[in-house]
Amino acid sequence: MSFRVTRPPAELVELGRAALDVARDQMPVLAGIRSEVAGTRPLQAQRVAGCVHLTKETGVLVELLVAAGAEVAWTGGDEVSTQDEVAAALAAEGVEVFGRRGMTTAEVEQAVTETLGAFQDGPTLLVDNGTRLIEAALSAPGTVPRLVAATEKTTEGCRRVREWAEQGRLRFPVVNVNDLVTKWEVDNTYGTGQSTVDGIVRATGVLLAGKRFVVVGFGQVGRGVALRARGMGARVVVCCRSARTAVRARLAGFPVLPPHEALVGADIVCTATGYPDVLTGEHLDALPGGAVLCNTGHSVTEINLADLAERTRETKRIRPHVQRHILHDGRHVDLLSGGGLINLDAAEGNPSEVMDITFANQALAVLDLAAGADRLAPGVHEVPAERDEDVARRKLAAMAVRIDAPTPEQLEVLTSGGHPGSLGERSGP
Amino acid sequence: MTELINRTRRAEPRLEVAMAQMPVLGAIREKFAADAPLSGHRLALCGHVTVETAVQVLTLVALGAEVAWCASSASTTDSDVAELIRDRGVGVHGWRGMSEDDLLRGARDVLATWPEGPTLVLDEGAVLITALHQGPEDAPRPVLATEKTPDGLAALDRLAARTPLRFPIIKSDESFGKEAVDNPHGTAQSLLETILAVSGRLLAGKVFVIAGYGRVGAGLAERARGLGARVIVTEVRPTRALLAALDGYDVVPMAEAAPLGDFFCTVTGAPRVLRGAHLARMRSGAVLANGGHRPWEIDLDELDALTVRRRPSGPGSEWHVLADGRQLQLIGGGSIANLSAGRGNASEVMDVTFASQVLALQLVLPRVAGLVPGLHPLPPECDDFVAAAFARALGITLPAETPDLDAFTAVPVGGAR
Ligand SMILES: NC(=O)c1ccc[n+]([C@@H]2O[C@H](COP(=O)([O-])OP(=O)(O)OC[C@H]3O[C@@H](n4cnc5c(N)ncnc54)[C@H](O)[C@@H]3O)[C@@H](O)[C@H]2O)c1
Ligand SMILES: NC(=O)c1ccc[n+]([C@@H]2O[C@H](COP(=O)([O-])OP(=O)(O)OC[C@H]3O[C@@H](n4cnc5c(N)ncnc54)[C@H](O)[C@@H]3O)[C@@H](O)[C@H]2O)c1
Repeated sequence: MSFRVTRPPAELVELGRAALDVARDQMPVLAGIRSEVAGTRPLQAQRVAGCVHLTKETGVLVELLVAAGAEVAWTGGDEVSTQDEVAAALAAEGVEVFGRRGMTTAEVEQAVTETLGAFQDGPTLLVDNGTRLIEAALSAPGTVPRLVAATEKTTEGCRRVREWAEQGRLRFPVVNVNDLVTKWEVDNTYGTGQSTVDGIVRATGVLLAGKRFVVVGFGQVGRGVALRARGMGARVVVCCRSARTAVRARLAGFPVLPPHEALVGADIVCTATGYPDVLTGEHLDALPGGAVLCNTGHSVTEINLADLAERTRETKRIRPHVQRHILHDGRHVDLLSGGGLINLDAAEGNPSEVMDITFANQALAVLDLAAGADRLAPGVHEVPAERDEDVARRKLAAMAVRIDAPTPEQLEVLTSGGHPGSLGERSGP
Repeated sequence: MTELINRTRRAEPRLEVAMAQMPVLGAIREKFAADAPLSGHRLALCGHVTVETAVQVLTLVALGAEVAWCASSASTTDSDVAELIRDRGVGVHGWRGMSEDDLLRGARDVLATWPEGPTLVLDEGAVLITALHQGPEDAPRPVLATEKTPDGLAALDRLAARTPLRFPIIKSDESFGKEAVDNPHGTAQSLLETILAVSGRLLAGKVFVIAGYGRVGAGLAERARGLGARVIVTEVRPTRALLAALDGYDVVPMAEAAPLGDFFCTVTGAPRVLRGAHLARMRSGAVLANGGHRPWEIDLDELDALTVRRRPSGPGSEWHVLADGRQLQLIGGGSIANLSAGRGNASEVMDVTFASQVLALQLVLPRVAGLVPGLHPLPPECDDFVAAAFARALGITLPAETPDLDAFTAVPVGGAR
């Protein structure tokens, strides 16, 4: 059986087109790049295989690649995030789309394999999000005889690719499109910060003002959640694992407590670390009855669900996205979105405007690769800082924000290596 | 004689206060002093002769080093502190009112303290390190040095272009302390405090223009907004401008901000950010301050050209009366405002910066044999120590599994040459 989307029903295609129209309106940076490349079609000779959550925003990226002349095959690489209407609309435009909403993990893998094999001579470029395609290409080199390069958008993925490079397994260049101010900060802090708080409010309907809100992890995502929850009037407490983040959080005005102390009076707890077992049985035992638990980190493992199940006498679905766990001792806690990503499940993930920036980085990286991948050696390559500035410049233009141009004298000072920190780690409170 | 004793007594209480407010240096003494990791070392130090540097010097002495100290600036020297530290057996070359020549002589005197020269150098502005590259090739060399200012490192880059560097130098300017504590919190607070104290104005409801949304600028913007100002940011770097906009500030070119601002503060590091064309459009009564390290961010020549008369306005500032009758209040003569017209950074903040420098020497020393001559980044364990000690001083309890201050044990010592 194939997961190729063929002859999608007309109503589904219509729905998908409507969704793409909405997203496109909020993605002016991609629109700008698209109008630049539509005439010259620089991807004319390219066959692009992509594996990124198949949402309406991803659809707009795919449309851009098609408009630039590429042949495109795509899969979402996820069990539940594929939007069938978007898949249908793209398939109707001639894109090879594989997969649907509601697949098993094995089926997701099969769809990935099919995507990689969609072209006669195999793809020339890969657009990856979690190294599924890259890994498949490495383990079956025969399927990708003409492969030139790939992009990868996640931290975890780039770490894996570096390991393969060290082991000498990597045979093509991979561009890291994650470590950019316009991705790391805008997407994780502002986008996820907002959509996480949005998801909690949508799921529970609580008033945030006055609530004791515990954020576990104060990285890019945790910081965004904490700042936004405070802005809504919640009394925010932060739990940190490292002294460095603890100092940052405290100097930003948040109380920093170890989890067992922070949780004692918690109304809402949100994990945002990227690590498993951040909340385990001992933490659950410290929670007051009625607490709300949710996660916006990497996967469903941050809250240890087995420990929760062990303490649960009975569960009730009290609202969409809210599972009430009545515990053996009579307390109850409300788990949101099954401990999965609250912002993707109970809200709409990152706003299109944020994905506009994230995907602009990917689109530009693909265009750069098409123009000169032969100059890159196998291994992980960073996007030049100037590209980051370019994407920010485009976004500012879309927001109608104008800034100064440095004078020649200032430019000399700025470029003489004096300010490495200004583009580095975020420092603001 | 009694005069001397009086001076020492005058500085003593201030030293005590500073000691109490500098817990990271305190943690270094507490953890390592017993093992005297710097014993046998001759350490030449160049730094402002202030009570905070005195705490740093006493820490180095507690670690076992023999220290000689020269002033890094003619205007900041506190003679009472100098006397107090001399009294404790450290050679201090600096007094209030010394000339630029005296400064250089002080540096040479410090290096000449020992016939074999220093083994360690803790520098500011690369004064000592530069001097150590002027002698004959075969002159005795220190085993390790550190420099903390961007200007000093720029000078070392220039030096390295002319002649090979003769020993390893740790750059302690890009550190966790500077990035997370000093610039966004310490400097931002001290700049705003200076601007308010000197101008005596109400901030609420005013328009506060900040040029440069870097580490300092972002902290300053948040503070000014917290006091009720409407903040406008100007930038040249798109990523930083975007973050300012996403943080909720108006971002516009300076030409548009100029006629709107009640306050202007430059924190860019770049020259001539506020120029004649901007000054010419400002509202009468506007307050101008520069927080950058060099006195070039406000174009003083162009301001002077527009000025027909200057009027003093209390300590730390001056009114510039322009030909059309408008007046602009310039803080600290356009030099780095919090140092030239304010109290400078809080001791708690300097603690972090000075501790990074001490650690740059002390934690690197055991493996200095593996370092080639030239510039090296600050090793991450220095930042880890500072963060752990600072967290403890803030009363933060970290989870049991997190490596905290206790994870640092005294390191074995490489003997002095
Ligand atoms: N929900 C979304 O849409 C979304 C969007 C972007 C990123 N993410 C995910 O969110 C996670 C965090 O991303 P980030 O950019 O903030 O990463 P980050 O590395 O900046 O921050 C993670 C922080 O968590 C801390 N931490 C780790 N274990 C901890 C523990 N047990 N207790 C307390 N703190 C702990 C780390 O010290 C670090 O400071 C990642 O897994 C990322 O993939 C989710
Ligand atoms: N007053 C103090 O005690 C103190 C303490 C620390 C640093 N500083 C000085 O403050 C300045 C800023 O430090 P930082 O750590 O924030 O640096 P940074 O590099 O993080 O930030 C500087 C910002 O200014 C921007 N910029 C450059 N030219 C500009 C222009 N013409 N107009 C508008 N914006 C411009 C840059 O894009 C950058 O974002 C430096 O000169 C630094 O040496 C002063």
